[in-house]
Amino acid sequence: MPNQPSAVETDYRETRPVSAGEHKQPQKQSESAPEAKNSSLASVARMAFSGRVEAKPSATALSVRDFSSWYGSFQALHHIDLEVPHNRVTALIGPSGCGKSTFLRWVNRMNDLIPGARCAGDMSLLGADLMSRDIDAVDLRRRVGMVFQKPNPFPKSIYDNIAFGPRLHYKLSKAETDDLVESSLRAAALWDEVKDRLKQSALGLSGGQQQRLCIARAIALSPDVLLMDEPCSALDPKATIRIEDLIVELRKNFTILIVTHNMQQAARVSDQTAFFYEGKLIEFDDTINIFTNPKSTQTEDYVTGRFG
Amino acid sequence: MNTPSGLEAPKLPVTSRRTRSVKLRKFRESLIFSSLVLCAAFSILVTTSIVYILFSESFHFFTEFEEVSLWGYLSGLEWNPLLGADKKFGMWPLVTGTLMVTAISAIISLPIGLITAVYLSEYAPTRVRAVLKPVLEVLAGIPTVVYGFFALAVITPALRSGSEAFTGDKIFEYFNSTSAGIAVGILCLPTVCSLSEDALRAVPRSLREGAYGLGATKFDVSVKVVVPAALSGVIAAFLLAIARAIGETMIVALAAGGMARLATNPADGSQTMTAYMVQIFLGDAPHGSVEYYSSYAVGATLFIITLGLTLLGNYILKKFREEYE
Amino acid sequence: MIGVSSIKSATTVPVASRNRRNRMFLYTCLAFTSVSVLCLGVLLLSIFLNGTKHLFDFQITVLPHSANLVDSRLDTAKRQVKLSFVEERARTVGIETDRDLTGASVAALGADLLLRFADGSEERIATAERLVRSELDIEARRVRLTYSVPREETVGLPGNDPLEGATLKETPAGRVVLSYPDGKEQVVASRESAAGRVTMLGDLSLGSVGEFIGGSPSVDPQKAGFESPLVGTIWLLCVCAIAAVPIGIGTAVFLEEFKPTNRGLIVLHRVVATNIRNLAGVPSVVYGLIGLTVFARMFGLLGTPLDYQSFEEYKLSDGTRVVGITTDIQSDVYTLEGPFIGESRLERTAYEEIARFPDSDEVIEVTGTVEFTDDYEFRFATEQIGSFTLSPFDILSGEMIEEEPFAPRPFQATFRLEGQARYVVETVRNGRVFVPREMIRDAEQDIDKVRIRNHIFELKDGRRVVGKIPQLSDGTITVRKDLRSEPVTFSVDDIAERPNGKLAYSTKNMITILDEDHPLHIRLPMGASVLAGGLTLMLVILPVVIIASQEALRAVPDTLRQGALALGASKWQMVRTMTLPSAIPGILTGCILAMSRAIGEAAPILIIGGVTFVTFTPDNLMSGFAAMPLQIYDWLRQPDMEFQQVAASGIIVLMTVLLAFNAVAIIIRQKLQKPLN
Repeated sequence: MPNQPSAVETDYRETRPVSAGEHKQPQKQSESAPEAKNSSLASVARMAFSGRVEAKPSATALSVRDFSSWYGSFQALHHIDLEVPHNRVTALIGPSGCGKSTFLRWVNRMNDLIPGARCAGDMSLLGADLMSRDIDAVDLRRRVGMVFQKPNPFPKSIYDNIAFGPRLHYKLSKAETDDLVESSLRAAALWDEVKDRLKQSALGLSGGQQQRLCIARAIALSPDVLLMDEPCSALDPKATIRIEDLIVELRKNFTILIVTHNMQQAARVSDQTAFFYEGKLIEFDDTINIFTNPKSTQTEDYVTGRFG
Repeated sequence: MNTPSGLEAPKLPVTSRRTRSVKLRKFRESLIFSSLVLCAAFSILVTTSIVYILFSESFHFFTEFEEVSLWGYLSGLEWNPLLGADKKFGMWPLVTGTLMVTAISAIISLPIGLITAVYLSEYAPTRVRAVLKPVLEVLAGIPTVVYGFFALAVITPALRSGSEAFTGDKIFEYFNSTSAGIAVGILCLPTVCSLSEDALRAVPRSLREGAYGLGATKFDVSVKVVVPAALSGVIAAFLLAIARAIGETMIVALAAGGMARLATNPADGSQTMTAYMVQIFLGDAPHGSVEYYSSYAVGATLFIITLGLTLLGNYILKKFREEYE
Repeated sequence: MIGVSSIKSATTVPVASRNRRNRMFLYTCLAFTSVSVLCLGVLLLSIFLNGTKHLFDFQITVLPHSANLVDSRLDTAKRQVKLSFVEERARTVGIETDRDLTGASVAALGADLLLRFADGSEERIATAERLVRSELDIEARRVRLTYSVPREETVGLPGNDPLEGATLKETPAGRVVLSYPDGKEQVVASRESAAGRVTMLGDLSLGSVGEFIGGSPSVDPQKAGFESPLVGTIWLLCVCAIAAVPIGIGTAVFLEEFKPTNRGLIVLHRVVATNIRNLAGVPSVVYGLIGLTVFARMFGLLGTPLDYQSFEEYKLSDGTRVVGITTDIQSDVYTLEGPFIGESRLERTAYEEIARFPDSDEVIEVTGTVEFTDDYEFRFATEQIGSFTLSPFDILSGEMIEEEPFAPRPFQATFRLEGQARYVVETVRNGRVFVPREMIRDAEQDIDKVRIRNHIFELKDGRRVVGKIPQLSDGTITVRKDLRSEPVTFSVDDIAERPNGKLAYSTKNMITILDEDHPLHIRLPMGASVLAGGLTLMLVILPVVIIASQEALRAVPDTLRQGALALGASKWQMVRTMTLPSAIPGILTGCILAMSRAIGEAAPILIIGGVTFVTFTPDNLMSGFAAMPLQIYDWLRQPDMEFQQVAASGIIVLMTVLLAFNAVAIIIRQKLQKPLN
């Protein structure tokens, strides 16, 4: 149960530099209600953050400017401006239907599969404009990985699941593939559990294991950005915790953009959080601020649970 | 009686007449239920009669005639029931005839059917689907005699003149297994396609998305993820289509001919089990003769083969559906 | 570094090649897919081309057999040929007077035909103008008179070939041939031969579509019609539908709505469900065998259908009566005699190519050329009787000249008619009787059906004699079990006595329901009847109906069911009022599609005993029948290529019927399913 150690609060103010990234936000100032500051979420956020290794000031991995998108005639996203920092975990929160999953799926152009989906604006990854015609979606997805809400391992062996992605894009020898599989599984904290049954079907794993397998599968391709769409919503609490730990670990090597409707999760794992509402980006700030000192009333209402 | 809200509850009439009508209704219900059970039992009756008739008449065939023995039937390589004195009743000529035609039809229907199914489920835009599905439905609904006509009027002449153009020699006889096999293949094509497509569509979208997310092209997704995932369903489709090809009668009777011999050359004619059964009843075989009973024996063999394939195919299909439900 | 980035030597697969592979696969898929579309297109095209060729074929102008051509004139301006000929027509006149006709005769005197009585008096009975011959039938008190009647026919010439310089000539075989200046020849009119053959070419007549559908099957491609198969199929469908639909729907309701609770029913449920799926995979020939055993023959428990076969009675033009079963229809047989072919037999069925075969006994000397074709046949081209082919197997005693290649060479032989076309009738009394086909032609209208019963005698020595049409003479009884067995004779005294004093004699009556004149007349065993055929087809489509009904019932949303149950409806009430009505469109569609499958099934019908040379439509449930797919199959079986065209016409009719069925099903699906939404 979270107490309110003021000591932590002090630490925070002294040691944490404000992370880079300009962000625009609507000028809806509201007093920081004591409710937000002292909420359990806030303490979770503080606790989580205090345990983290200090990061160097980071560059921007994904830069989004004035980005809007439509499904047919329905506008799903309105003029999103966002800078996703490199090697950090950025969470996207908001009530269901607010566009966060849609936004995520534009990053690896998965929306190309949906007829009638179109977009306008700029989205660039490490400098490359994602929306230009020169970008091949297939190659893009080599560099932007995705983990889905429900674990979706292929009905193949564990080994083949991991090796699937690399085999698509690279020519590898058997030894190289073996190494790759092992390192990916280790990085996903799954190696010890499956090392003796690599050739068995992946469908025999538990839900949590399957999701970690999907994570391993995604990181096997060394993506620049790892997208996660509510990765724990189909899992039990124990598995959820393991994955959250994993996410924090992976942050060292990957830029992670995670959509979640679980605010505690966002508070626990992310460095920065973006709050979406009805297709608009309402507020984007360090996680600690969003949960303790939100600038917008809407944000505050959401994080204190008044709606959503 | 006053209910909590203060309103009076409506009085429901409870008369003795109503009690009696309940009994009557129950009786009628059970009557109707029994008749439904009878309907269902009818189908079991059909199966029992099939088994009983085929096997009892075959038993008669094998025991009552001295020129026929079970071992001779199962091992004999000659089938000549219509020769006067020297009748031979080995089943292999007919069985190989069936196998030859079935093999050729499988070569046509299985690959084309599967790839068409892949196209329909993974690639085809809605407009193309709207055209293609009816086409396949029409192909599936065409009676088999029409395919027989197709074999005789189009395929056989094409094969004969085509082979003549290429090699200067008429390789194909007028009655040949290839022509029949091709027609049967086209007949079974829609079956393979629709069953395979069902199997492919049963593969959940999440698997496809997972593959796309890893940077797979549509080709990768279809061939490396979806088809392997749907494999048992596809195999079930193959088995059921082959069972249908084996049971096909009119096409082979028309195009493959009536000469029962070990089918080794697809360019020659052969007689299938089904064509033989038809031939007996077209001809003059008097009731009670050995030829008449031989058709039951052949029918029993045919039934065993198709039943085995159908059982296996349905079993695999059931397992496949359970996987994805 | 995690993942491939840690592998330094990893080479990438270029995206371009992957995209190219993707595109190649797409093209492959398209290619394979278009095979199906292509096949359908080619199939429909070939049916159409072949079928319409027959339906819209040129019809020759046929002169009656007895016609004698008087004159033929070519009118090049109008592109017509005017034929003047004289035809013999016969009619029968009854003798009106009551006087005794013993010793009477007829004679012509001037313009009158007189009946001369024995006492010398005379009476005029008809005109003798243009009288060719007369036949007096004293017993029947009538005279058959044959007159020669002049007639004119105008034949329009097809095509646009110039007619200048064309000539008309008449051949010895009775054909009028137009010879064009470029050497082309065209038969304009032909005399109908005794066997009723007609040859090709002539006027374009659209009326042939109607004729085709309205006509009856015949051994002659030109005359083949489709009426009896069409009607037969409709009869079969009705029987099949009435049998299959209730049982099918009942089974489906049982499987879907009445989920079992107790152990026994659960087992039944599962067994039935698997059973249906397996029945769907049984080949239709097997169903044919079952139908034959169960429905047609009824396991032989009630006697064989042969015992109850309807015999036919033929009244011939010479007055004789033949009663029996027609077992065969034979064709003309010719003998060819000449060098290297020795004595050869040539059978002219109706399916032969055009050849001006003689139909009289005269011996014809033929000269021409012969060559050996790629189809392993000898092809003779003669001046006298046209061209024909002879298979090496027909050469009975000649010497085969083994010469490769067999160059065309001159040839001469004699040609004569050996055996004439006829019907083979198995009678009870006289055994096998051969009836010349031409003699039956007149009497085909007067066919009586004689009902036969089985008579059973138990004799004192323990024998049990079963037979038909017993003949009694001088205290002995002769019966025959069937047409192929020996007659059994015994005396009346040999018949055993039953305890009650009566003779051990009974008739094994057919179980008959309703009279023969009633359309629903049923007689067991059913034999090769419409009822047996329909029930067999029911077996074939039953699984289809059940599965389709199941799907329709499953599609009904559960909320509907629960709503009814919550209001206190019993299971059956719920089904009757809620589930079934909303599932009806789906069930109906399924049934219609099942029936369209039944329309196309030829194999089971064939095994049951559907006939292909049936010229009548069924009168009642017990009639024999023809069916469309069976007729088409039979036409395709013929060696004559021309029958392929006829078959294609039949296919067009069949497919039209099928199309109508499917259209109805689709309309039902669309119209009746809207209210549900």
